[in-house]
This record gives sequence, C-alpha cells and structure tokens, in this order.
Amino acid sequence: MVSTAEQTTATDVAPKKGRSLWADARRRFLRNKAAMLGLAILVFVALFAVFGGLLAQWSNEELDYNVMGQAAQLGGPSLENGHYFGTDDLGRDLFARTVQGTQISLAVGVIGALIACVVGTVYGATAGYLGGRIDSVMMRLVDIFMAVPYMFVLILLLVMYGRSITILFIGVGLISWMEMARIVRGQTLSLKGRDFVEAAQATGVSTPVIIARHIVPNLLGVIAVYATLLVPLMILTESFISFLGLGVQEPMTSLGALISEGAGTIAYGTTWQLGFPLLFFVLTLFGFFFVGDGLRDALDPKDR
Amino acid sequence: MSPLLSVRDLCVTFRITRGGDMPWTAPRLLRAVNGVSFDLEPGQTLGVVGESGCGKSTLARGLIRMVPSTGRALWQDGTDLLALSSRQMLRYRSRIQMVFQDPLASLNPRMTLGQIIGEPLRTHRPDLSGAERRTRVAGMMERVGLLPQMISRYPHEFSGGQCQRIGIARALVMEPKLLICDEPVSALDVSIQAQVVDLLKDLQRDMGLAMIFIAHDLSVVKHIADEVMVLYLGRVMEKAPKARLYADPQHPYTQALLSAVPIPDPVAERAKKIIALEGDLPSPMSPPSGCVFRTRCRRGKPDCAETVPDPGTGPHRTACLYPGPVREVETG
Amino acid sequence: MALLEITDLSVTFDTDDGPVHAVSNLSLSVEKGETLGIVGESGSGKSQTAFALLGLLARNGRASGSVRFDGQEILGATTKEMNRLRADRMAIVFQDPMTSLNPYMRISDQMAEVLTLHRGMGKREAVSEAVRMLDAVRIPSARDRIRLYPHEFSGGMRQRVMIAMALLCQPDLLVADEPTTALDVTVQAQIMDLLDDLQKEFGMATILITHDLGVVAGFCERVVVLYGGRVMEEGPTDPLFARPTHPYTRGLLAAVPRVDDADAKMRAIPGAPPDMADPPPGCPFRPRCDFAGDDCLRMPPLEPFDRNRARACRRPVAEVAP
Repeated sequence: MVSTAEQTTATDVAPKKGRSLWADARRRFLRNKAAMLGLAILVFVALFAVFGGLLAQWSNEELDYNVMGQAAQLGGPSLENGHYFGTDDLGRDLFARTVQGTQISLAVGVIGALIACVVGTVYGATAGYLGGRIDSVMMRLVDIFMAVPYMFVLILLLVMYGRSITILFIGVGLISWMEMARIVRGQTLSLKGRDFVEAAQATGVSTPVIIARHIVPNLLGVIAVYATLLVPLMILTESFISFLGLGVQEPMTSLGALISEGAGTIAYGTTWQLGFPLLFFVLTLFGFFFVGDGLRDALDPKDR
Repeated sequence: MSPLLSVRDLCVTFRITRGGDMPWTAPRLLRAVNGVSFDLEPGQTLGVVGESGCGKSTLARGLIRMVPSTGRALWQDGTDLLALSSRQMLRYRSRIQMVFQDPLASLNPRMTLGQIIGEPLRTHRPDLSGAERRTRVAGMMERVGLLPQMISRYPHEFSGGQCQRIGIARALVMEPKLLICDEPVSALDVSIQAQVVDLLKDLQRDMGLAMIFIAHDLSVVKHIADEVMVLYLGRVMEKAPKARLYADPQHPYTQALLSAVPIPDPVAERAKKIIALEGDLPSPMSPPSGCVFRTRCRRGKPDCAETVPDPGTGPHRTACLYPGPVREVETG
Repeated sequence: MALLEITDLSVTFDTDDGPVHAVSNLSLSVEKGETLGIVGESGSGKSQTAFALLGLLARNGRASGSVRFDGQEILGATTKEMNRLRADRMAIVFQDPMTSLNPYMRISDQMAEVLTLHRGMGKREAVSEAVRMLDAVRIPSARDRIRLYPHEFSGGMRQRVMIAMALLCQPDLLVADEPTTALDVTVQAQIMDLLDDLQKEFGMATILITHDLGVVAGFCERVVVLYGGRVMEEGPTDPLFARPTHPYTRGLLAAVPRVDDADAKMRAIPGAPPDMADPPPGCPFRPRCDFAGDDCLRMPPLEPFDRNRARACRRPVAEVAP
C-alpha cells in the first residue's frame, strides 16, 4: 500500500541522526569571524575573572604601605613589586581589584540577564499565548512598571536599604525582565498562529505543555540573542550606579567603581588606574555585543 | 448504518473588535459559516470546496471546536460535540485528526519526527512506555512511506511531499475515525499531489477512515471525494454526490467554479466556455440580502434579493431559486 | 531575428552549502509577439531564468552565458542600463502584486511616476494615460479608483493594476511570473482571459512562467518544460500536449487533476524533485524516470525532432515500446 518509489528516494538520504536547526546555527556561528573573536575575548575575560586571583601577588584588600601616598610615583604597573596593573591611591593592588571588579560586573550582568530570561520568557509567553483579556492586563502591568523611572527607584532602594550587592542584583533583575517579556510576547503571538501550534491544539495537547513544548523552544533563539545583548546593558547599568558611588560596598568593587576612582585621580597622572579597568570593561562589552550579533545572524539567517 | 458525524445548522460567528474600541462598544459580528448541514458516513469522503473567504477552513475548525461554533454535530454514539465541555471533548480529539495545508509549517522545527508523530500518543496514551510509543511511531512511518530509520531527523531535512507524509502519520497514529484534510496538497508540486492523494485513499481504505477534504477548487476533490459540498460566503451553495455534481451542476456558482479550472489540453481549453463572475467577493461583514451569490450571478432576478434560497432535501441539494444547467447569457 | 535570444544561460547561487546550480545551460528564444510558456515545478529554475534575464537575481546569484534582447547583449549590463530597459521595453508581473506596489502611494501617483520619468509626460497627461490603461485592464470606474491606495483593491484587482503598470510603456516583452498563483480560480480565469486579450491587442511578446499546465495550454503558442534547472522538452503547445515524448512531460500531464474528463486519473510521479544543492548526476529526472538506463547518467543534449520541437532525452517515450 505504500508507494515504494518514495522509499527508494528516501534511502538516498543516509539514515543518520538528524541535523537540528541548532546544529545549523552552530555551524554558521563558528564561521562568523567577528563572533568568534568576541567569544575568544569573553573566554579570556572569564578566565581572567575566575583564575586571575591565583596569579595575583596581593589580595584586593591588602594595602602596600611602600606605595601608599606616592601612588603617582611608585604605584605604576611593575613586575618587580607584583603590582602588574599598578596600585590605587591607597596602595591596593589594582590587578587583584580588577579581577574582583570583573567578577562582580560579570555576575551582575549574567544574573540580571538570567532573571530576565526566566521571568520574561514565562511572563511573555503566557501573556502572548493566552491572549485576550489576560494578555491585556499582563502587558498593561508591564507598561506601568516601565513608566516608572527605574534608575530613580534603584537609587532610592540602595539609599534606603544601604549599599549591598543583593539589592543591586534584585534591582537589576527587577527592571531587566520587562523588555524581555515584551519581545517574547511579540514572538509568541506570531508563533501562536503557526500551523504546528494549531496541530497540537487540535490533538488536545494541554496549554502548559504547548507553551513548554512548542512555544518556548522556538523562542530560544530570540531569547539567546536578546540575553547576550542584555548582559552588557546590565553591566552598564551597574557601572552607572557604581560610578555614582552607590554600587557595591568597599572593599568589594566593580569595574564601574574602579573606573570612577580612576577617572577621579586621572589629574595626578595615574593613567593606569583608569586604563586597566576600562580596558576590561570595554573588552567585555565588545565581546558580548559581537557574540550577540553573531548569534542573531546564526539563528536567523534570513534577517541579515 | 448511522452516520459517523451528523452536522446540523453549524454556524461560526466571530466578534470583530477594532483597535481603539472601548470595552462597552458592541462588537461587529462576522458570520464566517452560516447554517451548514451534512451527514458523513464511516469510510466516506466529503469534499468541501470554495474560494478564499468562503469559510471552508473555519467550518473544519468549528467542528473540532478550535473556534466557537453553534448548531449540532452529532457523533456516531449520539454525543453532540458542540455541547461537550473541553475536558469531555478531549476524548473525541483523538478520534478526529487534522492534516494541514502547509506541510513544513505544520511541523515544529525543533522536534524530531519521532517526537512530532508521537505527540498525540503522549497526549492521549500516557500509559504507553517510550519504547512502545517508538514502535507505534515507526510502524506508522512505514505505513505512510517514510523510512523508520529517519525517526530522529528534523522536518527541515525533508521535501514538501515527505513533510506532508509526516503530517499524515501524526494524524493517523491514534487511529482516528475522522480525518479532516485542510487543502493537504495545495502547496505541493503537481507531481507530488497525486502521491499524497493516493496515500490518503490507501490509508482510508485500510483504516476505514471518514474524511472531510477541503479544497479551493474542484479539481483534486474530484479524485478523492464521494460527495462534494460547494461553499460561498459561509453558506452551502450546492451539495451532491460527486458524479452528479460534475456531470450535472445546478448552481450557477458551481458552474462558474467548474468552468474556471484550467484544462491541460490546448484544444479543450481554448474551446471551453468560461462563466465569468462579475465584480469582487462582497465583504463577509455585510453579506448581500437573500441569496449571497446574487451580486455576481447573471441569472439573478429581483426576488433573489428577498428570499434566502432553501437547499431542499435529498442527495442533490441546490440553494438557488433558479437552478438548472448553464444558460446562454452566462458564458462569454 | 528573435526578440529575445538566450544562449547557454547558467545561474549559480553561492550558499552556505556551496554553489547551487539553479539553471544549467539553458537556451531559448522568443520571437516578436510570441507567447512562450515556461513550465516547471519548484526548483526547476523557471523563476530564476526570468530573474536572470531581467537582471533581478539575488545578490549571491551569478548568471553566465548570453542573453540578447533585440540583438543587444544584456547579461552583465549595468543596473542603470537594465533599469532603463525594464522601464521601456521589458516589463514584469509578479506573483504577489503587494510586494511591488508601494502601499503608501496612490495608484495614480505610482502609475504617473513611471510615465513622467520614462516618457517625459506632464503629470496631467500621465494620469489620463494611466486611467486609459486601467480601463484597458477592465477596472470598473477607473477614473475614481485610480485615486485609491493598493490595499483598497482586492487581490484580483491589484493584479490588474500590476498588469496595467507593466503595460504603461508598451513593452516589447512582458514576463509574467506565476501571475495567478496567489489568486482564486474564478479570478485566475478572469486574469488569464484579460492577459490573452491584451496580448492580442498590444502584440507584445509574453513569457508566462507557471507550474500550471492548464494555464499554459490556454494561453501559450510554445512551451518549454523545465526540470532541475534544465530544459526537458520544448515545442509548439498543441503537439507537445497531444504527443509528449519526454517521460517527465508525460508524467506531469498525467499527474494533473482534470475536471473535464470523467475517468481521468491523477497518476503520481514517484519520488521527489531533485535537491538542487545536491543534484543527481546526468539527467535530473533519471531517479524518478521509469525508462532511465545507465546512459542517462550523462546529461543528454537538447536535440531537435519533429517540427520545431526539441527534447533532452536518450529514451523518449514514443520510441520505448509500451
């Protein structure tokens, strides 16, 4: 009863494991030079943040009394006294502080983006898929939240509850998911009309399963791209807060705080205090932006 | 034998809200399907034909409650599908399955063939183990002409015709009683269309399936349907056993549809008399009074605007006040 | 001299998976005032042939060979030259009129623009010429409707507008790429009827690109059947439909669902169209052909036979005993 001829052509296709869309995307990504450069930079920055501490001769809290007070003359980068990146005005090792600052900045960026992904995806996909009145209420809520000047609220929170890394994480996470929810909802609306979703509905697949099995996997591409572009935005937000002097509490630091300090002392000729944190800051942002663009091209080749 | 599905006076009405409307503004109503009735015997095929905007897809979706519908749709066991709660309806969803127009779009690009075809089993037979499910899926793949080794491949690796086979396998894996095919071959190449039609016919014979086969013209339906129903603006224009409808169409719209299908024979095509329809399809928001087809019909008389023609009863029904063969004034 | 002479046209696309040969060594010619049908299924290269000769290939596409229009080589002409040619002497009608009409401009402005730009007409004169053309494509009350925007027309009416625009400069060659595929059958019948009348009235040569053999049968004097980017068979319409000799042409004709013949069957062609990224060696139809042999592993040349007919097949059906 089966048309055998179709089978003969079917055998031409080797019956190996299928090549998923992800595999295709990976191939395109690996071929994208800018994205690979970005990825290399990110790997370097991440390695620096994780293992840099092992190379440091000084801890980030220790004060080098030899240098203290004459940072401009003696605090420059040097291999001899173990201050690879020099010291700050108090004689603290800038290498160790940059390592530690990078850790905090990356953590804020990545955790902020993660919160955005989870909350934004669930919220946006639910609103978009259910549609109708529920959608209207959920999205109007987002509109209202977005109308609140978040930087103001964040600063207020930090002033009220004191400067703490937890508050910073909470604050960044609270604001980051809303844009994500909007993007995810928009994508869900277009996915909802696709035939394969209708096929699942016609079969009787339940709503949560349709969202989890048919909607979300097809959103992952968009989410991945947006998340990679969101990380640098989170880092920028954190640096802005830190630059205002409201970020993490000393002796902990972040790239933003280091840049702020460096910028403050630039008049005394201690260029390295600004230069090294800024270098890592810029590298991180570049890395994420390049990788994000690469992901977008790889996941949606039609969009180029 | 009692019919598998007996549909009476099915209507689907959409509420159209315009952007910027206030919540208390009364929505405008669009009646996409209006008073459709038919009986479908087990193992038989009903062809539903009409042009865009005639409500043929909406009719199918109304039947399986994907859009809200009114009227009655009695299943063989006496249950009215349109009166069931959505939980009760779930039992019937495995007995009515659907095949879609765009083969690739109807398959989730992130799922493998095994996951796609196995999804109805996962939904309706959670008691089956993964291995049992795989066996059934592989068996179904073989029946539709796909190699079971391809079970872990993805839809985008297949041609349009093969994708439609995947869609058919998914629809049949639960061994349904009724298969609704929404233009299953319209998007396929001519040389592939016949393959899929043959496959559907074979499967229908082997599994005793009843089918509702939706098409936008009268050509493919001729090769698969037992009975044909012609829709225009949500209403049934003509319904007849296939042989009768093609040999002796009574409704001017059916005649126009038939004459419009191009014939791949230069001599016959040049000699053919086309019944040209005048003007455009009226807006379904404000359909013409009386007979909905009257604005484009050359046979129309003044009373067509006043009376909604009654299709009558019997095997050959025509909703027209002046039915009959093509007249001289209508051609050319 | 033929109006359009295509010799050895090949179209190649550079893709992630390597080069894809969409059209290989295609030769055909169109006389002045002739109607030619190019028939093929998806991946046959029919649309890419049209795009290549109009200079509209996608950026990753390359065309080689020769395309002579009225004696002048136009393959490799600059964009500027092609623009002038497309405005003056060749016109194209696409499948989806919405993609080629500007949704933010009135029809009158879009049509008049063509004439003011290329014919140097004044605005008033151009608009009245446009109205005349809309009358010609039988748009009722054209004088009023010309002031509408594209979305205010139905699909069939929009396609009429497109045809009117294509005919504004009275081209010598009209290329219609699946002009009725997106339309309902009754509207398709109207549009084909219109094209037929206009072709007779204006006398322009017309290339009709379609997958629908029925549409070709009613409209074209000559037909070229493409498969896998190559010409399978060509010739005058009547004998080609009455006595197809290439196994593919025969298979295609037998596969079309017919409404006129009481016991005509749809006969399937087994297998699937070739994957153009990885085509079979030799004749592209070989894997699906009932008559194929080892000699088909080399591509057969296009050889003339009968009167004005040609085919690329080593085992034409007429010569294979049934």
